[in-house]
Amino acid sequence: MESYLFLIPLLPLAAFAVNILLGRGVIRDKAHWVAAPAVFGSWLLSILVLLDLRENEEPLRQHLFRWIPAGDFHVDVTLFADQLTAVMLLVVTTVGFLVHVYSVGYMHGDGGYYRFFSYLPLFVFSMLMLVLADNFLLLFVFWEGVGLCSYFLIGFWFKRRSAANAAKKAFIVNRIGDLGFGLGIMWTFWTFGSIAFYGEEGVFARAGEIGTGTITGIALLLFLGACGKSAQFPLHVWLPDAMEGPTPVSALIHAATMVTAGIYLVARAHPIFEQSEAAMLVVAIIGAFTAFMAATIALVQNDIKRVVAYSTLSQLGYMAFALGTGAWVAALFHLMTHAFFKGLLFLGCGSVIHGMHEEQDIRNMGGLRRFMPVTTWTFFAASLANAGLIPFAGFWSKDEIIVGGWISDYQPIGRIVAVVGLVSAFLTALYMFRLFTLVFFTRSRFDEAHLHPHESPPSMALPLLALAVPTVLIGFVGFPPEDGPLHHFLEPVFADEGIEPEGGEVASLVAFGQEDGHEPAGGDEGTAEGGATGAAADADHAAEGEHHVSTATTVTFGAISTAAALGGLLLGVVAYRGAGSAAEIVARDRALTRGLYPFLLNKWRWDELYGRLFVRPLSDLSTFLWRVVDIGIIDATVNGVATGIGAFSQRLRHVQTGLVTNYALAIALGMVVMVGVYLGLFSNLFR
Amino acid sequence: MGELGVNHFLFLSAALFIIGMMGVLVRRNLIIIFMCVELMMNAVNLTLVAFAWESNTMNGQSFALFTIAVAAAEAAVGLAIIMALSRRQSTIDADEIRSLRD
Amino acid sequence: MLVELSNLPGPDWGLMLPQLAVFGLALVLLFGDAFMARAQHFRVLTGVSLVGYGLATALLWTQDGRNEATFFGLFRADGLTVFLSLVILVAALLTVMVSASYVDRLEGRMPIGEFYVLLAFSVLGALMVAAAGDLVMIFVGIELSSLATYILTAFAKRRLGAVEGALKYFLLGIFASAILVYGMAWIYGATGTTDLDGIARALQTATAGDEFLEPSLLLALLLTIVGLGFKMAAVPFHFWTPDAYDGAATPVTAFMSVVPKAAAFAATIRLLVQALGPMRDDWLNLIAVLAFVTMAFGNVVAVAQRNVKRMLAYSSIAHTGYMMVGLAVYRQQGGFDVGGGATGGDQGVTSLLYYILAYTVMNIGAFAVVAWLQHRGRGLTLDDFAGLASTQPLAAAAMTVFLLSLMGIPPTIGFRAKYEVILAAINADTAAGLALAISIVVLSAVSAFYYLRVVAVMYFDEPARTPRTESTPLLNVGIGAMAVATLLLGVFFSGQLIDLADRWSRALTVVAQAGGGG
Repeated sequence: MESYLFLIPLLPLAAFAVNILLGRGVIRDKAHWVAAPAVFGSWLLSILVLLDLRENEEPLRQHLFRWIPAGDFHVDVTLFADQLTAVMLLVVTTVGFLVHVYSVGYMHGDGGYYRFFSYLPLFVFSMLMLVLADNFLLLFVFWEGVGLCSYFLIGFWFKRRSAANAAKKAFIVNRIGDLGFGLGIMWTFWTFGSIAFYGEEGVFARAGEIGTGTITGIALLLFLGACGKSAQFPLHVWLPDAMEGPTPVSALIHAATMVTAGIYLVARAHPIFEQSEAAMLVVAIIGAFTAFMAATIALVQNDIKRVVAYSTLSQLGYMAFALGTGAWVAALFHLMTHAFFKGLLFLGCGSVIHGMHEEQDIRNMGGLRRFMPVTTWTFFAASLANAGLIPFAGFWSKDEIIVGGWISDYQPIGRIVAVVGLVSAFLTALYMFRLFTLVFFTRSRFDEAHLHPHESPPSMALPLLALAVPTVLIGFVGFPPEDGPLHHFLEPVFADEGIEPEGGEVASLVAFGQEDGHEPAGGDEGTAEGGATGAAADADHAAEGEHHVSTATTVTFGAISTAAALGGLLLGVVAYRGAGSAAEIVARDRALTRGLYPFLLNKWRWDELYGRLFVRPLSDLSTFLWRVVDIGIIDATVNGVATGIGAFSQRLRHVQTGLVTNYALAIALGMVVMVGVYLGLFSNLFR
Repeated sequence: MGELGVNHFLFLSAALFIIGMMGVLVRRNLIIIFMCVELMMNAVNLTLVAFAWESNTMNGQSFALFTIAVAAAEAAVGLAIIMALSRRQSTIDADEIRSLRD
Repeated sequence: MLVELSNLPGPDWGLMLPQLAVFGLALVLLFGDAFMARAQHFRVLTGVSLVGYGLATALLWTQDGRNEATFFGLFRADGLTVFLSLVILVAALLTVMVSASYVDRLEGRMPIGEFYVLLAFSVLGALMVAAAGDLVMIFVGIELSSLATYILTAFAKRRLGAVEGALKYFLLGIFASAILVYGMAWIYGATGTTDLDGIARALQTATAGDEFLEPSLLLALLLTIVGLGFKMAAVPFHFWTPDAYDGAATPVTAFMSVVPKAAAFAATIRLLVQALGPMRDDWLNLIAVLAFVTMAFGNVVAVAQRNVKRMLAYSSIAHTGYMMVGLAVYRQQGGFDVGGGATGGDQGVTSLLYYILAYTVMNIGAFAVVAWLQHRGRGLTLDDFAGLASTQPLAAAAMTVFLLSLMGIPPTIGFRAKYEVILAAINADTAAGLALAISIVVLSAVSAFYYLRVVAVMYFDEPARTPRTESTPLLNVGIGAMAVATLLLGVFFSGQLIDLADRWSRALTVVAQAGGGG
């Protein structure tokens, strides 16, 4: 039954091969007819996987071949699909397919059309393999694979200097993360003697047997990798610059899929993270900080794609802090909803940019709703979802994250991050509606006589509409909160969570509402204050085993976060209503952020700080190494040796005299020397 | 001297072998060089038969037969190559043949 | 020694199907050449050759996993037979692909039927060596292979260089053969048998107590090594190599840089490891020294070459050196167990076998690109490669792949093979092994100089003139297949191939039946 699993990545790979080989000569501007159907096929198969896993909970496996056999150690290429994978597959293929369709319009007439439609399926292939991998090494290979594709696609317009630089920046920053990830894998192998995820010898089954120090180290190194890929502080600086790539790429790679690979990694490795409270703490704090910081930066940015990019950072931060508080399903839930609404936002941005003839500065837009209605209303839906307004997708998942933080086992940090999350939710709504107001409402701030914005062609509008559906509705797979179909579906993956964090902070489980630990061994659930709503509501089994929330908590938080989001929304609309000129927008930005404006506009000055701390000293050092050590010492030595060998070689070649008798003499002499030496040394003939 | 032993044959064949080898090294005429190699092969045959005689086994004798057959084949191939060469260069002096070197 | 003829066990023909297939192929080609219209030779005989070698390769399955001997131990089918036969047959297939259009069109249209017949006999000889269980078989196999190769070398007889190269190859070849067979005669004299296992058994009892070997055995060993060293092209017995490689037609060069070398290594493994294994302490150091000298000389002299074919000839000498390292670190502990029981192969010899396979693909590939260019009117010097990347990018890319693989750059098969050899050398845990491992690394750096020079010329120089176009479909397919194999086999399936090479050790475990017959 699972024999079709290999087809899921194979189809995009085949599309890549066909397009890269035949694209320039034969296929040219029909490249999308190869790529899009392939990804559509993967999508259908992913649905099969999903249905299959709903039917029976056993994960699917397919062994392809043995990749590295080295004695006892071997790495198999085995595809593995459990419920977590299935969710990721669905997200990747759905957004992937729609982005392919969208790109037909967006990239129309571009010189590298076939090249674009080779890289895009290659990326989809790598991403699918990443989520299908059943061991760390295979995951790492395709982790690098998606990074490489991202690098190609950011620098797709490589003739643009800023694009090339952004690609380089993304590459270098990601190397730092990958270094950590690589070290983490080595340490894992060192410790466990295996890098497989599951099975008897698998890492996860034995995560509990390892000392806290080691497991914390491994977890933190893995998280460093996740930070790089998912653009978490302090490695977040590459993502906003990556917006230099074509917009469909931003939608697919830098919003919906690749950047969530880090989140996926932590979720996949949750048995490791659960063993280390310190690591969880770090994940939660970094996530919450990133969520807050990125939201503040997004408040004052003027490039439409950058605002959305910082919003992505912020939402990834939410996911990370959900992971850090042990709310695994909530993180996955948000990952899924975010993929749809953020993909839609980016495609909407692309539509706006396309319609405005490559204008990206929101100060030069305004009033676009009159020109592009489809874009406007789909963008509106996505903005509401991102802002977290009930009943749009973002509301359910974000709310669950905040609740999850509040009632998590890791206190008091859980409550702090929950509050930060609420503040960030307010900011999210504010910047989203600042953007929405300035782009689609207000008076147009461009010269309507010369610039005629237009609605995008159907191939771009249709994906917008298609994505709008899940943006509005997908939240209901998580309804009712903590007990929705998604939670039940993912339950088998995270069901082994009975293990308690070492150090036993479990006692502080008592929280705002009423929790129900559901741990047969633990048995330390608090039945403290506020029990009015009673445990009856959640008597049935919980999605995650650890925290199970009462209706009162859910409703209370729903109300609070809705209030925050509404507040932000209204403030955004009110503050920027009627902004008539670019200068006026800046003035209103300043009025809103007061003295922080320059600080926020310069993105908290991280780039400058890194420049001073790392980049400049390194470049000085490398200049020194190049001038003095390399040219002066190494090159001189190498050149000397090369010259020497060349001269020696010129002499030695004359040994080949061309005379056959000389050659025979060489053979005979060689023989005589050998016989002489050997008989002299080793035999007793002459003694 | 006494009776004829295996060592006599071995010394004879060794002498033949070395004479043949020296011929290869010092002679310049391709045909003669070739014949010197044939001499070496015959020295080998003698050795093989001598050992077969000593150890009272058949292997050496049959080996010698194969060697003779191989030597005949070599003669055919070798003379053909030398013919082809002399047709192109009209010389069979080994010292004249050195267009390929270094 | 008198045996009733009726009591003789009949030979087991079923054991030698691949070899019989090649023999049959040779006969078919011979008659086809004689009785078929000349115009049809190219198409029909090329097809017959490809099918024949393909069939023989497929028939190797029948020998896989077997470990038996027939013809009174002359012929044996074991792991070594299968692996080396595979290498030889793959090389033969590739040679047919590379040579078909060349022989038919260039160098004054050579008779292609005769070419294929000689090729088949040469391959048959090499297969016999790979399957040899007796000194006689080794000798006859080597001679059959060599004699055919001498003629192939002279095949472009209108060119002086070809005949001259063939003459030198021939004269030195028979000289070395005489030395080799003289050494074999002495082995026979010292042990009283020509059967390889019998020799080993005799040596085991003889060397059990003695610290020093009989001088006659030492003499035998050294003469044998000289003879084999010549066939392998080890320094200082290598002098024929550059001249013969340079002179011969390019497809022939491709062929003889691989198949005779594979046959020579087959003979060396059979002789030194299988028969003379008990006295390995005496030959290990010698082989180590030869290996070092060979790779050092080959690499250094290659630097000064401006003719690409000659450069590749020296590079093939260097690769011989790398392969010999695998032999020099042979260390099957506890000597050799004739009675069976040796488990698992020796890492050194396994790496050597894998290296031959890798070398086959990448070296024939490099020569194939040279032949491809000759079809299009380019010459053989470095200048003829100038700007290849801009006029014929695919050929330049293929050549780059082969050169990088010869250099040993990951992830090519050449890297994997070199890695295995280095690993074996280090694992040998001796000073010599370590020194050899370091030498390989250092000399590989030297080799980068001349390999990368070709790449640089192809990519950075301006093309001299526009090449003429010509259609060579079979050659193109061959080059493509080799390029893909060179790129991918280092990563994929290398485990299986190394496992296959590892089975060579079963050569040592044929039980006494080999001595008796049947």
